[in-house]
Amino acid sequence: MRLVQNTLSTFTLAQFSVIGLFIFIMTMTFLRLADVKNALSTLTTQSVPAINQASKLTSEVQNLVTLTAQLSQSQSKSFQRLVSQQIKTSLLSLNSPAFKLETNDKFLFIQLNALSQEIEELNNLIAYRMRIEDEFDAAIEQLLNLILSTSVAFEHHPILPEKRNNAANLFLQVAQIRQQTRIHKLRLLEETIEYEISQVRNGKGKGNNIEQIRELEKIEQMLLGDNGLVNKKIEVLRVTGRARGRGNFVRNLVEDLARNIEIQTDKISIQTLNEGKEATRLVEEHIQLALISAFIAILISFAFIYYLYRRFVIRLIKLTNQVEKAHEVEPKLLDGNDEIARLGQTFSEYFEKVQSQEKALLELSLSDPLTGIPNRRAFEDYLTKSIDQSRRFSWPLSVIMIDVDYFKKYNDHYGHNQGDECLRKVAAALNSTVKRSTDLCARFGGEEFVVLLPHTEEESAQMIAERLRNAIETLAVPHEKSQISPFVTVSLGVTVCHFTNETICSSKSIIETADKALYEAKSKGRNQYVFTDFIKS
Amino acid sequence: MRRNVNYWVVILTAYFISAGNLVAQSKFTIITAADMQNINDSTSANYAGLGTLVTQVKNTKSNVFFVFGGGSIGPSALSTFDQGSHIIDILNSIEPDVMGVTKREFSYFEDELSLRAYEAAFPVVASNIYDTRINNQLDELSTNTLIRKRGISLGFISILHPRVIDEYLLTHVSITPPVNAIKEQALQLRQQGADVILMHYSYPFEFIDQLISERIIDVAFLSNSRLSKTNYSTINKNPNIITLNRPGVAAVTTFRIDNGIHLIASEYKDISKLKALSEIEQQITGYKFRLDRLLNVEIGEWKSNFSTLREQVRTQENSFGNFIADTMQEFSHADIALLNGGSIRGDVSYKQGQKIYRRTIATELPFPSLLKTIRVTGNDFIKALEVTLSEIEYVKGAFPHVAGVKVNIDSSRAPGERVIDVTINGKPLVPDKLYSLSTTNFLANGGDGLDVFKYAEDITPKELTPPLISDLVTQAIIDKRTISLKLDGRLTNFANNK
Repeated sequence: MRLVQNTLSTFTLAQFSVIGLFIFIMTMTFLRLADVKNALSTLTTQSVPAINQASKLTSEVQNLVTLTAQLSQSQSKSFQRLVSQQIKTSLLSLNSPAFKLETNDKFLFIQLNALSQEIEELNNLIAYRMRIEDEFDAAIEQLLNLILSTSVAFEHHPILPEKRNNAANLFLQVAQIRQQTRIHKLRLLEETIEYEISQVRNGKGKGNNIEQIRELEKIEQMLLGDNGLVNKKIEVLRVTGRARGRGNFVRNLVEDLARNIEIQTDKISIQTLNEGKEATRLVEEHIQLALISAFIAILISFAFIYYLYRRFVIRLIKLTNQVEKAHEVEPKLLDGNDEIARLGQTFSEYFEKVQSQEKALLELSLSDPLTGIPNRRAFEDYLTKSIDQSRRFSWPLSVIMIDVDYFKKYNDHYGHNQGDECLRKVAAALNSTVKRSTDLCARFGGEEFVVLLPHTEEESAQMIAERLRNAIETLAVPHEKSQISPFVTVSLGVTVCHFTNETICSSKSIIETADKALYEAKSKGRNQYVFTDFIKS
Repeated sequence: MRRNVNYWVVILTAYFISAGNLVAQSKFTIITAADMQNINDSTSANYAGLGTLVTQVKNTKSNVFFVFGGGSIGPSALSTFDQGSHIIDILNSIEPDVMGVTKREFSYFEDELSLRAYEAAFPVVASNIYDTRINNQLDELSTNTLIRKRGISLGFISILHPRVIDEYLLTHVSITPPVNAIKEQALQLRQQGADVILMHYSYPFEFIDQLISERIIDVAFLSNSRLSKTNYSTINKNPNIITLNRPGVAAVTTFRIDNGIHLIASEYKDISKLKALSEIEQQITGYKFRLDRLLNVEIGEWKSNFSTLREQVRTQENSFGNFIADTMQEFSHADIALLNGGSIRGDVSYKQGQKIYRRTIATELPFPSLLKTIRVTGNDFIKALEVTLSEIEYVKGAFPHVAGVKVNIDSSRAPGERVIDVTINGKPLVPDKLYSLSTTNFLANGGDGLDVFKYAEDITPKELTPPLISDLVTQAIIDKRTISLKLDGRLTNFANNK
């Protein structure tokens, strides 16, 4: 049971840890994705629209800057009306709920309010400027005409040339008023005109009647009076300057507004950028985490596979190898304490059983495994039967003992495998020479063979012995180490037992006698047979 | 016999009258005023009162020249919005004969000054300056002017000191040497028939006396409301020098021409006390009203007592200076923030619980300074600190207010050796390390002697428009609503402990 728990628990542990890691990674991924989703959601629903809105606001304000510049420069009423209308529209849209920036609404609102008021006042100032410009234009036209008619009147009068000159000069000075753009130059011009008029007036003498003097006074009043042209022009210049100043003021206000919006926008931009960066950072962090976790999971998986490999696969392979090779070596017990070790143990046990059964089987069998011809047991069995039979029928029984000459030397020289092969050949040759079905050729053991010839007399036995010897010689199996022949030879010992009432040959004694004959054959030089009568024991 | 007497009476009377006329013709009066930049400050900038004075003097005297000494276009809260247009508009109503230019006329730079001169009803004179872009006088300005009254022509020159270029970071103008310019212009004016040469200046040059005694110029007019008495008293000897060295004063000086120009009478009037001329008063009220409408928006509340008195912001750590520097650093995320004390112009004290208005910030930070971020080495930063601390004794505007750093100094040491140690973000300053530094564009471009910053790498982010420092501060107050200011010992002067 302990063994079972061991493998199972290890297996389970490893498996669960991989699954656990997997679940962990998936959960983290899910959480991180949720985070990123939130960040993106904030971006799309809040930050980007806020930036969008702010940029719309900025462009609307820029538009306002352009419009206010145009307003300041208006030269005609219709143009002024047009631009002023556009400005109203622009201010309305700026104040609309679509443009609410999150923070400091109130401040922006106040700024817009102040701006609207300033623009209205600027509008009024420009209207005023245009009005006094018109008044001035009308007045100067009137005066110039008056001067013209007066000097014409002068011309048709016999007057001094200087007077005519003075009038002409006056005309020029008045015309200059229109051109003047600097107030202090106008003041100088004022003085010059004063002088010119006095010159015209003082050029008395004939030619100046009351009417003309009155005309001159009128001109003087129109020029130099409190409401005169000079002061009117000065007023126009002042108001133009003031309007320009106010225009600058308004423009600066609008730029002020634009700047404030921009700071807000920039804040939002930076915030958005940071949010984006944060989201990116989270994603990167997560990717790193996922990679590391995956890496760890892979490592664990590999470790697990390796573990499986070592614990199961290798040992099974070892087992298989051992089973395959088991007939050669003692099966080693597999290391370990678990099911596979038990399996190995079982295999060993089974194997031992098989081996002993094999052995038993072998022992039970009648064939010589190497050569295939009957083995010693078979011979002894048959010998016993043949002796019984021979005794009953009083037949002669012949036995031939055969031994391969210098077989040890053959084995030593050519090796055991070839030795085996040689024995096989020898056995096959011997067996094929013994043709009668009642005869038996068997392997007696090692390099010894025996032929049993029931119902065979001495002469036949010797003849067969010679045949047998020849058969082997004819094989011509090379034998370098044989001292008597280049080929493998055999020595034979033949004996016959006549079964009479007096003579009973036992297996033992027959074999012994044959053996003796064989021994003699060996002593006489091998590769021959020797016949020996059966010696009664 | 009686007929003879009548005849003689007539002739003598005629003679005396004409002689009186002659005598009358050789006298002239100069009204001078200057440095009236803040219409909300009635002690120093009572234009309506000035208008009254001018009308009064013109009614009682002849040959009256009204000379305005400039110094008024900026800086002020309203000028932040219209770059001084309102001052010109008001001056147009009191019609000075001429205006001289001092350094404050450049508060919004050269081109705006040209625009103001165009709007002016009077000539604006700067005699030793020229526009390097066109190699000629600045647009709309005059190099000199000749003012003609009944019998007297007054030539007017106005001289600038070359350091105005550094102080106001002017990039398109060049200042020619004063003495040469004076001589040249004076000669020209004499050739045009000037009876009197009046020279206006604002820096106490030393050669004035000499110029007058050599009769190159006849009268000199010094307008500088910041001039301390000690600085000046050694120079002012000549009676023909009119000096306006404190705010809220106008001078009425009478001279006679009698083989040279001689001072007859000199009166210094406190303008703030004068009755206001109603027309001008209306104008000014109109401007004040518009300004109030704009600036009386409440944006927060002070939670601490503090002051922005000139002396304090230019000589020691100041909690408001700290706040501004902190705001700059918060916005730009730079390692260091640096601001000069001269940017803070309020010169007032505040109490806890006082409300903060847009006007407050517009008054404290009237200059259009932009936030700029540069990269400097630790060494450069120390050099910069030394430069800004080198004139503490003179209460100069360069004094530094910082954020992100802790600086220990000893002002009793010689200038250039006053920094003891600097810690940046808790760690000691490393001389070779590069730090990011946020400051005003004025300082980053080398203003207040900070040449060491001129060639530093500009790392202001290009995709954002650099904000005005005043806007940043306003926004910060709007966001936080209640503002606590504190002194945290970031700038400690060991000389105070001795």
